[in-house]
Amino acid sequence: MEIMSKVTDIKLGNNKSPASRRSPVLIIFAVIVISFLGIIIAPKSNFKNDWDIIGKQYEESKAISDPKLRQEAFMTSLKEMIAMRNKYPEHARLYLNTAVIFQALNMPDSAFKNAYTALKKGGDGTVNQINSFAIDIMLKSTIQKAQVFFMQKDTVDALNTFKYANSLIQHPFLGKTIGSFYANFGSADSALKYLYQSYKLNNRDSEVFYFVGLTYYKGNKIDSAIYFLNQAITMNPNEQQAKSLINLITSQGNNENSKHN
Amino acid sequence: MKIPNIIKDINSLSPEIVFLICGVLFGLLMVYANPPYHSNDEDRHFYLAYNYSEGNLAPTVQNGKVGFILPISLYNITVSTQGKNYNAGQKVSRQMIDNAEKVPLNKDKNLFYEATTININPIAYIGPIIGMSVGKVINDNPIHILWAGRIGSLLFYLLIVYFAIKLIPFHKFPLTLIALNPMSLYQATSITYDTPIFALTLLLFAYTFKLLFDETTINENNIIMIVAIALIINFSKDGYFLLPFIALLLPMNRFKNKNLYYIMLASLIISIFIPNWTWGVYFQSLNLPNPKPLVSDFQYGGSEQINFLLSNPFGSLYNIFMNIITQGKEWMWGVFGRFGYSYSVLNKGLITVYGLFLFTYILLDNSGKYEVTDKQRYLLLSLGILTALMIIVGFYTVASPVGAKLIFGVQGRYFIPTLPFFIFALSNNIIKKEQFLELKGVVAISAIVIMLSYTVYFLDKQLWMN
Repeated sequence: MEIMSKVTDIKLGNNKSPASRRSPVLIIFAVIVISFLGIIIAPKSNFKNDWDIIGKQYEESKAISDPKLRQEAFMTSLKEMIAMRNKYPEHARLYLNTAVIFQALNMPDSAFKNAYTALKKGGDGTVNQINSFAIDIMLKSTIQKAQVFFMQKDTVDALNTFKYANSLIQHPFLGKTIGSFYANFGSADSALKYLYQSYKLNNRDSEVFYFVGLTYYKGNKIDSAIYFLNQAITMNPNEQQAKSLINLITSQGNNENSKHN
Repeated sequence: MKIPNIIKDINSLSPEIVFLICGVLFGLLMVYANPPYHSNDEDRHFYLAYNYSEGNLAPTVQNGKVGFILPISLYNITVSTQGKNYNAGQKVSRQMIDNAEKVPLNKDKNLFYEATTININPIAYIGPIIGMSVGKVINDNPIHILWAGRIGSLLFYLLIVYFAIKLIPFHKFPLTLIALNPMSLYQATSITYDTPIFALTLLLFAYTFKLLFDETTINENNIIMIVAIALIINFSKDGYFLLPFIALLLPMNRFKNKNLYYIMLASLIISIFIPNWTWGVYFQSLNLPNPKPLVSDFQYGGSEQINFLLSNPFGSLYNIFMNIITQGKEWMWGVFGRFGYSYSVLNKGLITVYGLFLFTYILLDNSGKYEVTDKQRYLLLSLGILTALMIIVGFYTVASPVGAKLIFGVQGRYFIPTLPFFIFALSNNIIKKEQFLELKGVVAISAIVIMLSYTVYFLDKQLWMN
């Protein structure tokens, strides 16, 4: 009987002694228990939890239809977010989050400042590149602030708002916008300087070519103007501003010719 | 020491019956003790399951946005229960729910809801869909539709796991304990796609062990069963495709022929891709605008994040390790008991004791003639560990902000399907404590009753305003 049992054990691969069969089980048990307890004892990060709560609150605030209640909810989220930002100053994305809420509250200066800090801190969710969300907030805040100056007919401060943003971040939109200002109202040199800056960051923007054309047109350099306007139309056949200006130049040329005739 | 007859009677109860009794009793209590739409993301899963229960397979597109047409009452009631900061002492008012229960569904007045959870296969909601469809006939109030959906989910879970416990030839009580772990049952009583994954993992687990220890030859029907379960798991949610490979526990010489083994292996591999080749293709053909995933204000995951991780592989591995260290505790609580939109953790001391209890219980639960070899033990552990890592890495690449050192979106409950793999790796027939074996049923039942009673009490106390 004993021999039969041994034969069965060998067939089943159980030819190890009970002690040696026990050891892997006990080792695995020890590893699992130590890992389980180790993870429980290890220091924890509260950041994720805090973010989850505030992030969710903010998302839900956005869904509130009543503007007054929504504003109040944003303010609550903002206070908590600022507290959290101060608690975890190493997390750039908290600055970005704060910027988002400031933007939702129509506070462009604070939104801009926080987005810029996020960008500078980098890492942890902020992408330090041209299409990063931080830059997006900075651009939107800049436009928002400039619009206020425009409404007050204060074009100088509107321009300075864009120039300030341009001194901090490199973005083709800023160069183009400032360049377009100068092309319409200011010096040709300044216009070309900013438009060239924009071109270096994005050489496929037909509008930049249009504004260069406009700058030359205003400086009475018609051949150069036509060249750049045609470039703009080649790049984008729907570039209506360039088409209109070429039509204007052509009609002016015809008028001149008819006067001479 | 003489054991009283009543203890002997309790001890002799079959585990599957214990599972059904405790599952129905505590499951129904949890359906109602958990405030409406309060499991993680339950609101979003509810909208989608409701949409399916209305017979709509595809979402609606309006103004370039993708979502569902929902009755206004259903949306308003759901939203009104959300955003409770339990950490700050906020709770759900019973009065508010009582009032909401009187609001008719009124399908004619509807709105467009922009959704992020849109492409989950309806098979993942089979329980809630059936529950809701039946529930709507009885009472179409939005809260009652939710209760019905939850009950449907619970019944589906109980049915599948009942068969799993019945099928598995050994360690029936450990499987019952895993299935009635507070968080497992909490999930089963919510509307979520995690329920079928866990239930079917347990079924496949049990079926594999049944085949392993049965003396019969493994044939085509057995393979069809294994692959069918694997397919449903893969259709329900990404990230768990390794779990069905538990079928590799079956030795090749037990198959009718070698080819059948390879057919099973190939089918398991192909089953990973079938959801993409079918449901994925169907969804792509709808040409839907991309919904904004998770919190929409940040750039999440995608190729940029993968590039970031690959640009510094050792740094990324270090980050993953550090996340396990610093967030692991939160995930661990989530495996056993994290409620009220994950904000309320069950007593942490109790969870620790319960975790240790589960590991110790199976160690002492002598498997008798059914022996798990070391090779099988390592396979179980590997599948458990790899699946857990897949979940963590998956969230790091898909759901974390680009460049982040911190992994976002991982919740402890996602690891529940790996629990049996770790626990059954401790199966043995060497350690034999007669006294424990005589009382193992009573010990398991006591643990289940204590844990689930406390959970129901906790939910009631922690989440509801009294």
